[in-house]
Amino acid sequence: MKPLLSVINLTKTFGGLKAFQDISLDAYPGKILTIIGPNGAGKTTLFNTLTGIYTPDSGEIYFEGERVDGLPTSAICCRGMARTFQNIRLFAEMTALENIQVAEFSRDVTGWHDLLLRTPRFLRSEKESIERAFHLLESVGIVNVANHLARNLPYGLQRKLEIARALATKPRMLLLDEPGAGMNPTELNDLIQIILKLREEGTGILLIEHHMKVVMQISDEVVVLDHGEELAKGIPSEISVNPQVISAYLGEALTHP
Amino acid sequence: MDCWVSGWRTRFEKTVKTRRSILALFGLFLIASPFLFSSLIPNPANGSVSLRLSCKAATEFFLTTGVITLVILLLGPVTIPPLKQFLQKTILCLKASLPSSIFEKVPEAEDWPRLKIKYTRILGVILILASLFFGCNASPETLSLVTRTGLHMILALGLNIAVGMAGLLVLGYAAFYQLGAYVMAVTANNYPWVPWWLLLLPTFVIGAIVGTLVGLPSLKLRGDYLAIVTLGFGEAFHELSRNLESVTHADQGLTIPAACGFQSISFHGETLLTQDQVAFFCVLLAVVVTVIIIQRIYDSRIGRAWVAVREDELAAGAMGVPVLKMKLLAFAISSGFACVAGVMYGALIGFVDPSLCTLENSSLYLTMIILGGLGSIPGALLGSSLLTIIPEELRNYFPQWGDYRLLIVGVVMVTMMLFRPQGMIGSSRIRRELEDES
Repeated sequence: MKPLLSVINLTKTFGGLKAFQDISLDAYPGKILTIIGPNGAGKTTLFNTLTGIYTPDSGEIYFEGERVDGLPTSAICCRGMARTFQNIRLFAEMTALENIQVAEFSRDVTGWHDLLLRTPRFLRSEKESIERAFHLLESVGIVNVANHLARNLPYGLQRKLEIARALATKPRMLLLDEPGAGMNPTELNDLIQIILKLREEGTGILLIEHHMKVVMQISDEVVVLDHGEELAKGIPSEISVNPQVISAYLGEALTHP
Repeated sequence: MDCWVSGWRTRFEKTVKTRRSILALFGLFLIASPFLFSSLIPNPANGSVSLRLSCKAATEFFLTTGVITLVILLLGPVTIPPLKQFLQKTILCLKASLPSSIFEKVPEAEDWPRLKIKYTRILGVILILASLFFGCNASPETLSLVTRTGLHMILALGLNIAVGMAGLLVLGYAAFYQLGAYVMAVTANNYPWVPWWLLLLPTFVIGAIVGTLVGLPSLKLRGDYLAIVTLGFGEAFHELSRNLESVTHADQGLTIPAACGFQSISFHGETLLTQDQVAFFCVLLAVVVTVIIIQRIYDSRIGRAWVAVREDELAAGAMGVPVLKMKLLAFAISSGFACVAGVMYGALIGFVDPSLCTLENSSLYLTMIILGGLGSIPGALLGSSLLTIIPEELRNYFPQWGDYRLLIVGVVMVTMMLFRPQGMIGSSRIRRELEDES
């Protein structure tokens, strides 16, 4: 199978500070690739670089065989790579529905004459956009708050809305940055169901997560980052017994004399 | 369906009947009263203008249009059963014709915003009819004040696109106003056969291009850089117009031949519409067209993208919104409308000099939209009328108060920021949020 997203020797530094170095990974459609690592390991910076918020210092990023590093954020999104944010970044003063409609921007084909003259095409496109948005909200289970302002939603629903918003761009690759942070067990369970459903539909998923249970349960492959370098890579059962990983997370075991 | 209607009714009864209609009526009265009850009498002997209270015009106005407005606002939709049914039927018909079948999915669905649009439309039509009536009857002095208010409305609406919708703080907006006026004046002096209305569209394009050129280097940066760049542009443009003698005649200004401005319309030697009335109706038409255009853009994906960029630039980009392009677009359209207002200013006043483009004017336009409510179209209309008419009236009542005009503007700004930061009519989004909380 050809990888959907492939990263080759990617390096990013901020001045003298090395965010991550020589990272290579391949993500496949319908697979969940999880990135774990202690705080400050460079996981979120890697996401920001992949989605074009930062430009990498060296290395290459290929999406569906085409090179995407150096493209503006919106262009990368239009190619089919969407993301959520670690600290939720919804459009606070817009309703849940509008948040999702914004994400459909690049796929809307109505022109100026359509919107100024309110042509049937415009009305149809608006109607379809609202219907699609409702559908998406339904699929993540928050259709009942469609017309609430995003800022007034409870935390768990904001997380879900962010996923729904990312899905509205019709991504083939979804980057989830700690989607389970601060969720209670029920919400976490819902989240797992949503992610698994996406995997079934053939979306490639790149996940940053700290809940080890979730990681071990749903990942197809796990990459461990530590201090910006790849520490280990493999299937979850291998990673969970890898002594290097354990020491990175818990520190060295005391050796008795 | 029934559920939808009853849901609407409870909501309607709770919020609008009690509070909104009173507020709306009060606002209408507030806007209308100064120039309805008063008429200005110029005294040619010493060049002063005196004010006379006259109840005749006001009585006429309220008897014809005001009463209808009052009845519809206060009683109409809720307490008179046949009218209520009629309105409900109308709404249901509209609902069927509109892209709104999704309403059934969520019964509570707060299709309220959409209904509110309907009500705003009805109110808008009433206001337009009232203005038509007013235009035919008001004294020339009052008419000229209201026409200038109309120009300020276009300016406030245009500035509202950049500041209120897209969140770009523009501090030199008067420069674009003056640019439009100079384009008009220079054309009128060189090619007097060109009618003013033919200049509207080209000037809009010129304004949009200049806006893009000013915005391009600064919009890539974040935050307040644009404010500083536009502030500088405003001052630079002011100085340029004062020093570019060959084109602008510096401080002497440019006089526009009367033949190029608004013309009275006569038929068989009988004057149908005086020059003032023509100006009033043209500006009224321009305001209505501006409102419609901006409302339609705001309700489309472009408007949503603007708000998204205002709320969170980074997230908007990550969701596929071309951030820079959207900002430039907002800035360009905003500048374009200012230039259009400038052309009409030239046609109305017949004289352009560099005093139009001052920081004082730019901040006055900003105050208008902050007073009315950032991001809100009715707010921009209300803010611009209040801040044009009230200072003018104050100057008439108490001539020495004219010196304190700016002080009043400052007090208004501080008070608004402290007590009602969302403005008199906040944008629908913010207002809904406040309702949720209460």
